[in-house]
Amino acid sequence: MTCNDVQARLSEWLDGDTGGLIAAERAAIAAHLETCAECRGELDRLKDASALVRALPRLHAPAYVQGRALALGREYAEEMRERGGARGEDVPRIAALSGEMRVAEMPPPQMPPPRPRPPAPMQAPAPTGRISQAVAGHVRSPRHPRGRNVRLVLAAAVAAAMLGLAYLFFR
Amino acid sequence: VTPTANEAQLVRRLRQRDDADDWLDAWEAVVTQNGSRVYGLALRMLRNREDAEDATQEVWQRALRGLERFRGESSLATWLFRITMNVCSSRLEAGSRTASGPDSKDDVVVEMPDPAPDPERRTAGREVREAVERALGTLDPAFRSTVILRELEGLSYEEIAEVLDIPVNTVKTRLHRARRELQSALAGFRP
Repeated sequence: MTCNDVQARLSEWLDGDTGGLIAAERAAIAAHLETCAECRGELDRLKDASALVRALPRLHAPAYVQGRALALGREYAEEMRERGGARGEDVPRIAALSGEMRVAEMPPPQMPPPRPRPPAPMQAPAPTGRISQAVAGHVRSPRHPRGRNVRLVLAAAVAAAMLGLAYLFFR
Repeated sequence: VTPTANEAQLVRRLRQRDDADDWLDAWEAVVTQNGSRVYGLALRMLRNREDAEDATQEVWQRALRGLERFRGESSLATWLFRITMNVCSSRLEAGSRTASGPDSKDDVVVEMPDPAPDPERRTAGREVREAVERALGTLDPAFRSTVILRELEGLSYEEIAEVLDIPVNTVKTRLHRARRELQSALAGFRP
């Protein structure tokens, strides 16, 4: 093996078993390193650079970043509760979960076709705070349009009252 | 690549979705165990705190959407790293507010914690760590991701190939070139 051959494989050598070098290559590199000070020096410098990177501290996610991720889960669980458990065929779909996924992230499709949803009676107000913006679109579209039911009851009451008045007037 | 028993159980609970409380417990465990790893990778890739925060949230949104079809064939961390790298790549391609030179504001350097209790050692150590972080920041993102996943996250070549969706030989080439560049940039420093 020449110095070029060895130096091209030093990164894999550094990673030991993970490096994927076959036994014969490892033996040849080891033999070369014993006799070549230049390649040993190169290996030492490579080791130093690797060790410097490995010594970097782990970065910690700020509490509010973690909080946003947890809030996303709570919202999802809440929808699950409202549906009485998803059980596979009734998967909660919160509005925050929109956008494209890369093909590489997507396991084989197994999802049932989405259920038709009733139209939203009104537009949810745009979130303004830092956290609420982060979970933007996270506002549920109303699946139980209570407002519409109230309006129907009121209309029925008004109609009944008018019928009563008409009855009294014409009697 | 093989998930641990604990992870396999978490994945099973997350996919069952017939008990909201149990599902939420499992989700919280996943976020708690992996949140800093996801955020750390995003911050080291994007070099900007706000971008990293937004990217992290996008990762969790995608994870939540993809969990129902996640089979647990790879570890959860590997899968989350894959999503993180996809999100970061999209943002880098879209030209996010990434630090580009040694004098640019680099939020990894700004946010770096100080592990040493002794102030003198802390200052000396901080200078070295800043230099290493800046050297990492100047690497091409393709090389940077490979070296972070190997050196800081301890992934095998096969796992890195899976996360980055590239052949194992490309991992070896990128790692070799990344280490050579770091070696040049950090010539005056010793671990």
